[in-house]
Amino acid sequence: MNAVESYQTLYHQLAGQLPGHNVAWVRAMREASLLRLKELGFPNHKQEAWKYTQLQTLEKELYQPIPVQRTNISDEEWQQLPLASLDASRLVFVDGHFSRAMSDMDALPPGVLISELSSLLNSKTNQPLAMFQNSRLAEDAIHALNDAFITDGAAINILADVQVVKPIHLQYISTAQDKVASYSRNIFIMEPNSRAQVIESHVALGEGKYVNNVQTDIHLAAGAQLEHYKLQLEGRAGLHFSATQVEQAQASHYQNHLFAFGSQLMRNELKLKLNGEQATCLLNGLFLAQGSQHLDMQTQIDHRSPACTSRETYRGIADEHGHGVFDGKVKVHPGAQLSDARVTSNNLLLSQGGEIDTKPQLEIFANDVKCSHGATIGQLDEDVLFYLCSRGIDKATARNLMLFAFASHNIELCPLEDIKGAARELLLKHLHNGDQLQESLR
Amino acid sequence: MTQNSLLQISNLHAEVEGQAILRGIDLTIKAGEVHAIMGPNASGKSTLAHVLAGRPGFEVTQGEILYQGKDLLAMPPEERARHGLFLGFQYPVEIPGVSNVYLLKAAVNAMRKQRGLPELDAMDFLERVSERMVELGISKDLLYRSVNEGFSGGEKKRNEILQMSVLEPQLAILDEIDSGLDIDALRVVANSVNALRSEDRAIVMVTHYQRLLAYIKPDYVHVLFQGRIVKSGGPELAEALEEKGYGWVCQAGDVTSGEIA
Repeated sequence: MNAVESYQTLYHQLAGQLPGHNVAWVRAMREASLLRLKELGFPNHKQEAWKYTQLQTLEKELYQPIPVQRTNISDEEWQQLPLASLDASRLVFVDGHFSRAMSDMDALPPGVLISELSSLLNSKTNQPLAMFQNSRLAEDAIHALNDAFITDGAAINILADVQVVKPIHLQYISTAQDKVASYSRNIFIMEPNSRAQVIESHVALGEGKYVNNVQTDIHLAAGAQLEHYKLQLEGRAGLHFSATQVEQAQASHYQNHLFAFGSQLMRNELKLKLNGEQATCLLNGLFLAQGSQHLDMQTQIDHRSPACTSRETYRGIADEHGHGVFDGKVKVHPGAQLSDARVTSNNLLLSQGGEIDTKPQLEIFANDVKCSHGATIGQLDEDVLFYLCSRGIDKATARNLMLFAFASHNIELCPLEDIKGAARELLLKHLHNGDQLQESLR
Repeated sequence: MTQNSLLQISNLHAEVEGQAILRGIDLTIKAGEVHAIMGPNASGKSTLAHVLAGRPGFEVTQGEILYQGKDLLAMPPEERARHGLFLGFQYPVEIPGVSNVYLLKAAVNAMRKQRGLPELDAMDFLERVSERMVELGISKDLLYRSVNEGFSGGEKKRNEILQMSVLEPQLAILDEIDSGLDIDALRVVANSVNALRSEDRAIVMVTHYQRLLAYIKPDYVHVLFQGRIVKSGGPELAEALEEKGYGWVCQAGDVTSGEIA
């Protein structure tokens, strides 16, 4: 049996347990996506978009959803998780299942509609169908698998003119057991002139080799503003696959701030369509690939209307045998005059065995535009290192201080102070001997 | 070669990228003294300063340096600093993302730790720094800016002196600290250096011009040429150099060890 057939067999075994199995359109969607999986097959390195990232593991091993394992975690465990004490509306998922006990959705302000996706999939109304109709056809096996096995996720709808003050925190916890997969689907719908902050954090309670597959669809109506944060802190053997598609109407504003410190393998795709005039976006990313981590960042921004602005700044650090990939594409479509785009990728390669591949790309089909891109791959500046040491700072701390300073560029771009603090702390936690620096930063 | 010499350099040879720069330096500095090392461009002045601070890539091929009776060359740069050796850079580097206040605090606490003293708390530290900043005419916002980033040439030099006065080193080596300073800034910097003069510390000024020495009067002046000290004397030597130029003591191929005073 090949991998596609194995997943088909698995689906037929599990179908009765998946949400919406009694709802015709949900079943139809799942079955169609299995056909799509067969059509697409698994990506291989001959495909340009998969040149640097191999997915053999998904073909060799069958990762599968498991029933609810835990409905609660101890206070002690909770306090270990990032943003544990953040004042937020909170949805918690464990291995892809929504946990009502751990979530906190009391006192949602009027005009903020949040629910777990599974309840929508189980509902007999056609309302959620409309949400899925807007969603794209799977472009790769990862997305097709997600469509087939969706377990849960967050459905967030902010009504027109509503400004949400408290951040909405989506905490994805993996128990990190071998060969377990969770499939989450998020849908954020921001109505005209609404405003919100959504934070995703992905954490693990174990060391096993598991898959966390998250697909997110975001719609920003005219004038809507969304700050979208993500902390990727998967377990050291974890596989994180994520794809986010954003559709932006006129004068909407989207920000994505990504901090990727965890996982063995990460593939993060961000696709933005600037459909309405004067839509703006900021994509900000920081990744740290150490040990044998492989972190692959793929972004695509489509300027489809005039006078849109996009800013993208990614920074990566590769140490030991870590491998970082950045592929940032901006496409200016015909007629999208006065587009203003800038893509920057700066990287530090700290070891012989590490690797950074960076590829900012511009495709421009309009003549009155302002677009630029730049990429650097460098090492730590020896002169700075010596300067710091000449002030009594030991070499390991000086090195960490320089990495911290390099990363600060991205951390400081976050408007939300709590995220800045969390990102700083997490970065130090992930740097070797970072605790010494933390001590001296106090 | 007395007991109380702070720094004792013997027959020091050093090269950079395979090229011999220092070719036999002998110099003894005692606590309480101020020395000026002068010389034409490319005579090895800055190399000497950087060798003392332990810059990687500056390779000592012969000779030894005793600092506080210990083998200086065996210590990594951070250890030298923690033992009170300070280098004021001619070209201080910019460090985007690292605030000046952080660097100062980390440096002070590294030094205190070495001496077995508790870390300074934030209040005491800020008080100590603020006083020095007022003396140096440095505006407070400079503390919270990234180290040297976007600083003017003068600000960078004052920032070096600020670090020096906060760290209170045993041996301060100031590499062309006067370059890029206008006359008012020079006076301010000189005041801070003079304030640091004391019985238990020594100051070495590396400079091309006599101008600085009018403000910070050295006890000894040495002329470095082609990697050797070709003449040593008192402050009057600097005045003579100002009058007659380096040609007076430095003639290519005319260097013998016998000329060392």
